[in-house]
Amino acid sequence: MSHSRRNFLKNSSVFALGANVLRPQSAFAESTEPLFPDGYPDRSEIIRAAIDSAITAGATYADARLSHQEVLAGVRVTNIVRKEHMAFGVRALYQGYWGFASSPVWSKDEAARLGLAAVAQAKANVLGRDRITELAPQSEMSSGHWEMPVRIDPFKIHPDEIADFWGGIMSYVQTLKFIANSSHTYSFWRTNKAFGSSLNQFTTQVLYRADGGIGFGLEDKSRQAKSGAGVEEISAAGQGFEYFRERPIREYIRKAHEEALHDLTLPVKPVDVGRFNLLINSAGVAGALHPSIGVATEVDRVFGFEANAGGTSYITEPETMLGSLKLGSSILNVTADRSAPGSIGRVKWDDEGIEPIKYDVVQDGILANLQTNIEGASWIKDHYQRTGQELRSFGCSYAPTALDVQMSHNADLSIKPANNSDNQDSLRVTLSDGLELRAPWVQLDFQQITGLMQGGVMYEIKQGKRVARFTNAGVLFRTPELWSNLTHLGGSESVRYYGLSSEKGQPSQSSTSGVFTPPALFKEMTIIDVKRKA
Amino acid sequence: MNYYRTFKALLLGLTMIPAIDLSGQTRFSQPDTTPDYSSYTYLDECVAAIRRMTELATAEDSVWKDTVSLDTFRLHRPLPSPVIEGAKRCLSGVNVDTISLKESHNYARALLVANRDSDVERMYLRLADSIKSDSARTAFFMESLLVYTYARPVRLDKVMQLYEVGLMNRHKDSIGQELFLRSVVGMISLQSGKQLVARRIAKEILGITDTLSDKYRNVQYIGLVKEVTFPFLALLMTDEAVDSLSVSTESYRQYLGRVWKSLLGYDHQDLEIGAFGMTAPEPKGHFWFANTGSENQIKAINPAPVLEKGKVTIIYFGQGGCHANYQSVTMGRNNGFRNLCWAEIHKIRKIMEQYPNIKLVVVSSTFGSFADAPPLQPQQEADTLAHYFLGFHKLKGTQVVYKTDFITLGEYDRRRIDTETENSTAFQFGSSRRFMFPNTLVMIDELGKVFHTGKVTDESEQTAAIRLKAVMNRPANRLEP
Amino acid sequence: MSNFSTGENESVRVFNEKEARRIAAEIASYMRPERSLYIMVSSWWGAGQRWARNRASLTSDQREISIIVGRGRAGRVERGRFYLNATTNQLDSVSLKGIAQHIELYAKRSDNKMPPDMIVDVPRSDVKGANVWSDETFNRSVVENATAVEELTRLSENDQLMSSGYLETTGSGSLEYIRDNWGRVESQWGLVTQAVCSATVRHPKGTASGWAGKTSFDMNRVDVSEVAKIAFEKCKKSLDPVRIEPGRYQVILEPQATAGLIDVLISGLARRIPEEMGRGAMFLGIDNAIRRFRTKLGLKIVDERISVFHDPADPIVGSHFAPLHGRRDFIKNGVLTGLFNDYQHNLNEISEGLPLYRSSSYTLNGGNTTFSDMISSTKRGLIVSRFTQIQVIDPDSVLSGGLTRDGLWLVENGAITKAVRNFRWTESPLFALNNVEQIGIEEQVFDPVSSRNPFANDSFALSLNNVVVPPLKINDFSFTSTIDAI
Repeated sequence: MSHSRRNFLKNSSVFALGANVLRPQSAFAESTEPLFPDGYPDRSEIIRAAIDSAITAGATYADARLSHQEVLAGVRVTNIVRKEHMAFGVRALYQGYWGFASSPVWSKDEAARLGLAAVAQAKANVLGRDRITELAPQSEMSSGHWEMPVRIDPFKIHPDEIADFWGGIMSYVQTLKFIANSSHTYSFWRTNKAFGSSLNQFTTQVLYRADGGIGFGLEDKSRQAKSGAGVEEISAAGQGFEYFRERPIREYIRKAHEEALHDLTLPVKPVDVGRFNLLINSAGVAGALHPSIGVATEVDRVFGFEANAGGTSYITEPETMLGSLKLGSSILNVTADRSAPGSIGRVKWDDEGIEPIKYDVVQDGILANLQTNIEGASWIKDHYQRTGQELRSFGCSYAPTALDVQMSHNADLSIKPANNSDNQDSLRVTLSDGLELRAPWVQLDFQQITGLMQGGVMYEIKQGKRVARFTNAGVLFRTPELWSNLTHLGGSESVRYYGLSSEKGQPSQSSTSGVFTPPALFKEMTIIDVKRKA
Repeated sequence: MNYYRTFKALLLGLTMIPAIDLSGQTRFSQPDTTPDYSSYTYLDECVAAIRRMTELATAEDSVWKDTVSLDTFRLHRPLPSPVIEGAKRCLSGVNVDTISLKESHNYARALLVANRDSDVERMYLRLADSIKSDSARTAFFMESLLVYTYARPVRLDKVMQLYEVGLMNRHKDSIGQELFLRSVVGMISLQSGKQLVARRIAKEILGITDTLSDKYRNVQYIGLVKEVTFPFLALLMTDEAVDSLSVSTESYRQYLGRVWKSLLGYDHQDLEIGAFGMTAPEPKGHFWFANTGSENQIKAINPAPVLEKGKVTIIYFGQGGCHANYQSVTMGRNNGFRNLCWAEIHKIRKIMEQYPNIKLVVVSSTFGSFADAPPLQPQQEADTLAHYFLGFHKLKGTQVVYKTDFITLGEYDRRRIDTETENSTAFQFGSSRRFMFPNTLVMIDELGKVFHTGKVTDESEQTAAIRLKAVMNRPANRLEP
Repeated sequence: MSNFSTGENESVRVFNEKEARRIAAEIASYMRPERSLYIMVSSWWGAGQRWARNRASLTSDQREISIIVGRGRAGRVERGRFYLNATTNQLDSVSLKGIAQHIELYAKRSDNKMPPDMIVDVPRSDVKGANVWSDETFNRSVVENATAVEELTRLSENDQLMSSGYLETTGSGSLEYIRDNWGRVESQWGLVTQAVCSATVRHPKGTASGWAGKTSFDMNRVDVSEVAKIAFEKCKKSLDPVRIEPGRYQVILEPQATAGLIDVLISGLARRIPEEMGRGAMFLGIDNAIRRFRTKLGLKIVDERISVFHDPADPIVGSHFAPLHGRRDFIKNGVLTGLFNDYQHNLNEISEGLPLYRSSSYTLNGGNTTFSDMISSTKRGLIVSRFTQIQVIDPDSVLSGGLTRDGLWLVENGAITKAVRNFRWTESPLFALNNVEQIGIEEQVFDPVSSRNPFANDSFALSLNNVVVPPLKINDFSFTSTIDAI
C-alpha cells in the first residue's frame, strides 16, 4: 500500500502521453476553432486507436464507445433548456478483471490514453487470485449504421414550433370544466452512439427519446371535492416529436378529464383494510411489472453484483430456478425485447454491439430467462447447455452515456394480452364487489420480493361500477403472490405502453425502459391503510 | 379538425440515411428555420404562437428606463408587422364557423391580431345566437367587448357597439362588473381622443353609483369607482375648468360642484372628491436630505417645514420598492401598465425642468431593506433612499424619510410588521381610501391646497399637466421673465 | 488549499483555477455585457473500485467537465437560482458560444421587461469555507485501492461469505462566476475531495446480510478494512433471522439509521412554504391578529436533548465554497430556532440577517451513552442497522414509510438474543425525536453521493451530504409488517 498516485503514474505508461490530452484540446491551445468544423471526426479511427492501445497493453478484450447526447427541454413556453454532452469510454479485460476509463475528449491521443488507462485499472487487481471472466460468443460480428426512424426530428424544427404545440395543449386543458391547476413537461433527446470492440465490431447509431407528461387537478364549485388525473398515454418513448404531435393528445386529455370529473361525484371514504379482488389499470400493472419482474431478472442483480447498491433478487439460485420458479399464474407471459418500434429501450445494437432479440422472461407463469449482457450470459451457460439453448447475450447492455460503464439494464417488457376483447371497463363490469386501482406508485424492497402500491386513485367497485374513492389505500404484496393472483388480463386492444426508469450501479446510472401491458384483474389482494401505524 | 398530420410528414421518415452524418455541425445551433405554421394542426397552437409573438413584441415596448417617456397610447397602436404577418400565416386555414363557444375569446384575440375583424364578428354573432339565456349572452358580449378593447389597435367602434348592447341587456346581478366595463370603455374612449363619449360614459357611471341603494353605495368598490370616475369626468379640462383653476383651487372646486349638478341634477353633498381643495399637512420625517449645488451632492439637512406659503409644492411618495419591483406592460385580460414609477420619476423630472420654481419633496418611510441590498439600519436606509431618488434618479429637491415603527414576531420568527406612519395617516385627509400609497403624487398650490393627487403616469397624466399649467399660470406662480 | 498544484510532473485531473477562469471569461465574452449571468465551471475526477462475489468487478477512472450557464431573475443572481440554463461538457469555442447564445436568445424574451439593477452590495460574509481538500484522497493510487479490496474479499472468501462493495476517491474543482446587471463580477474557486467506501457481506444462500459504510473528504478517515470488518461481522451475526410480530418496539438506531429516519425532517426545515402557503410540517397555524401564517419557530418540537446545527467551517460537515453564514442552529435544545430561507424572503419578511441556505450537511448533537450501555439497558427492543426506501407519506406530519436493511436484532434483557427478519415501518421522525430514551456518541455516517453526472441533475459536479449523528434509543417505534427481503 505504499505506492503513491504519483509513483503509479510514473510507472505506468499512462502519463507518458503528457497532460494536454486529458481534456478538450482547445482549453490548452486557446483555439477559437470549433472542435469538429465538418461534423464528427472519423469515429471508427478514434475507437480503433483506443482498442489498439488497450490490446497492445495486454487486454484480452476491449471495447470503446463514443456518445454525443443533446437534450432540449421545455420549462415554460418561452424557456427552452439545452444540454449537450460528449463522452468517450474504454473498457478492457485483463486476466479476468475489468478496467474502465472515460473522459469528455474525442481524439486519437485521448483514445490511446484511455486504452492504456483502462488496462492499467484492470491490471491493478491482478494480485494472486484469479477472476474467471467468460464472454458469451456472438454468432455474427456486427457493424453498420442505424438511425431510429423518427418522423419529426425535434432538433431539426424550430423550438418555437414545439413550444406552440404545448401552448396549444395547455390552453385546451384550460377550457375544460373545473380545472384548478395543470402542468406539463417535455424533453427531447438525441444520442449519437458509436461502439467498437476488439472483436472487429464497429457500429454507429442515432437514438431518439421523447419524454413528456400532462397533469391536471379539478376542484368543484364548492372547492370541497377534488380530483386529479394525468394523461397516461404519454410517458417516454423512442420517438421524435411525432410522439406528441401525431397522437390524439386532446382526446386523451378529454378522457382523463372525464374520468376526473366523475371522480368528483364519488364519495371519499377511509379505506377498508382486508383482502379484495382488485382491478389494476395498465399504468399500475406496468409499474408493478417493471421492478418485480424486470429489475429482478437483471443478471448482475441476480448474481449479487448489485448487492451493495440497489440490492439483490429473489432469484437466489438461478441455475435451478430458471425454467422452474413459479412466478405467476399460467396466464402470465412476459417477453423482453429491445427492438420494439417506438419503445424507449429500442436499439439496433446494445452497448456491447449485440443485436438484441425478443425472448421470454416468464412463460406460462414460469421464470424462463434472465436479462443478460455478454458476461452475465456466461454465468448461466450450464443452464443453456442443459436446456439445449444457444449461449448468447440478449443485448441488455446499456449506459446512459460513454462516461459511464455499460451494465445490464432492463429491456422493454411486454405482457402477453388475453385472447379476448376485454379492457379496463369490461373487466370492471365483472367485479361485483372489489376495488380498482388507477396509476399507483409501486415500490419494492431490495430483493424485489415484497412491495407496496400506493397513491393514484383507489375506487370501491360494486356491481361493476365505481361507487367511492378510498383515501390512503395501499396494496401490500409479495411478488410471486401478486402474479399468482392474476386472474384476468385485458385483450390486445387494451394494451398500453409506458416508459419507466430505474437506477443501478455505483456510481449510480439510470436507464429508461418501456412496458406494454393490458389492465389486469387480481384476486384477494391485501389492502392496507398506509398512514396507519402499528 | 383531423388528429394526424398529412402524408407529407410520413414521407420524412423514409428519407434515405446519408452515409456520413454531419450532425456534429449542428451542436447547439438553432435549426435555420422559422416555425412551420402549416404543420400546426390545431387552432389553439396558432393562438399560442400569436400570444408568444405578441408578448415578445410587447416586451420590447416596455419601460424600465427613467429616461424614456411612457407612451400611454402604445397599447392601442398596431403590433409590428412581422407579428401580424405571422398571425395571418398561422391562421390562414382557420374556419371561424367551427370555433366553439368556450374557445371563442381566445381565438378572437388571435384573429384580431391577423386583422380578421369580419371573421371575428361573424363568429361572435353566430355564437351569440346559440346562447339561450339572456344573462349568459350579456356576459358573452361583455367578454367580447374586452377582447376588442385590448386588441392592438383598439377596435373602438366595436367596443362602443357592444357597449350599447351591454346597456340594453344590463346584467342586474353584477353591478361591479358593469361599472368595471363602463370604466374600461370610458378610459379607452378618453385615450382615443373621444372626449364626448368618455364624458357621457362617466356621467352614466356616476348616475348608476348615485342611484344605488345605501347597501351598495357604501361598498368600498363603488366608492373607488366614483373616485376614479368623477375626476376622470372632471379631467376633461374644459376651458372653463382651466380658467377656474387658474384663479384658485377653491374656484376650481366650485366649478366641479357646478359640473356635478348639471350632469346629475343634484348637489353633491360636500364634493368629497379626491383631496381637491384640502389643506395639505406637513410631511413628517426623521431623516432629511437635499441635493445641493450643481453636482447633485446629497447632504443631510435639518428638518424644516417644506410647505412654504407662496410656493407650489409636489410631494412624491417614493419607496425603494419602486426600484426592485417588476415593471411591466401586460397583455390580455390585465392589459395595462403596472408600477411604472420609473416613468413616473421621468415625468417629475420633466416637470421640474419646466417649472424650476416648483418645490419637490420626496417622502419615504423605512422598511428595513432596499431593493436587493442587505438589511439596512434606518439611517442607512434613509441615506440609500436619498441617494436613490435624489442621486440615481437625479430628482432636485428634498428627501424626507420617516423611520417606521414596527413589531417583531418573536426571537426566532423575527418577521417585521410595520405600523402606520404619521404621513400615511395625515395624507389620508380624513378618509380611508382617498389616497393610495406608495408612488403617488400630491400637488399643492401656493396657498397650501391640494389640487391634484394620483399617479402621474396613468391616464391622468395629461390632466395633471393641464392642472399644473393652470396653477402655474396664476400670477403668484409665474416665473419672472 | 494551496496544496493543489498542477506541477509539470503531475497529471492534471481537474482544472486549475486559472483555466477555469479563462473558460468563464470566454463564455462571458459571448454574452451581452449589460445583463446578469451565472456560470459554473467544474471538472471532476473519480477513481472507482467496485467489487462483488469476493472479486474486483470493475476498476474505473472517470473525468468529467460541466459548464452551466444561466441567468438570474431581474438581475438578481443567487446561487443555484437561475431561470435559464444551458449545459455542455465541451470547451471548444463552438460549444461555449453555443450555450452563451442559447441563453441570449431566450433571455431576450423576458429581459426587456426588467429594470437594470441599481448598485447594491451583494451580501458576502467573511466566513471561510472549510478545507475539504485532501492530498491523501486525491493521490490515493489504484493499486492501494485494489490491494485493500483484495484483502477484504479474501477475508470473506475464507469464511465462505460473499462481499460486494464500492470504494471511490474523487476530486473536483469548481469556479462559480456571477455577474450582475452592472457588470460587477463575483467569483469563487473551490476544491474538494471525497472518499467513499461501503461494503455488503452476504451469505451465499441469501440468509444473512451485513453492511457498513464511511464517507469523508479525507481518505485517512475512511478505514476500508474497518468498513469491511463491520459488514462482515454484521453478516455473521445476522444468520437465519427469525420472524417476529410487527408492532411497537423500543429501537436502538445505529447512526446510519438515525440519519435515514431524520433526513425527511431536515430537508423539510424550510421557511417559505409554511409562511407563504400555510403548509408543511413546520406550519403552526394562522395568526389572526396579524393575518400571517405562523411557523413553529421558537416552539419546542422535539426532545430537549436534541440540537441540530450546521457549521460550514467544520471540515467534517463543511463546504468548499465560502458559505454566506457561519454556524447556524436549526433545533436548539428541542426548540425550532432556524429554518432554511432564501435571501429574498429574508429581506422582505425579516429585514435582517443573511439567508439560511439549504444544506444537506448537518450535525445532530450526541449524548454520552455508549452503544453497549444502550443495549444492556434495554429490556426488549430492536437494534436497527439502517433504513432504506424511505419516503414521506404525509408531508404535514412527515409521517414516513420505509424498510429496515442489513442487520436487525432483538435485544432481550440487556443482550442481543437473535437476528430478526426485516420490517416495513410507518413512523414520523417528529414522533421519534419526541420519544428519545437515550442518546449515544455522534459520528459521521456514510452518504452515498447521488448521481455525479452533472448532465443528469444540473447540479455541482460533487455535492456533499456530510451528516454527523448519534445512535438513538427510541420508544414505541412503529413496525407495520414483515418483509421477505434479506
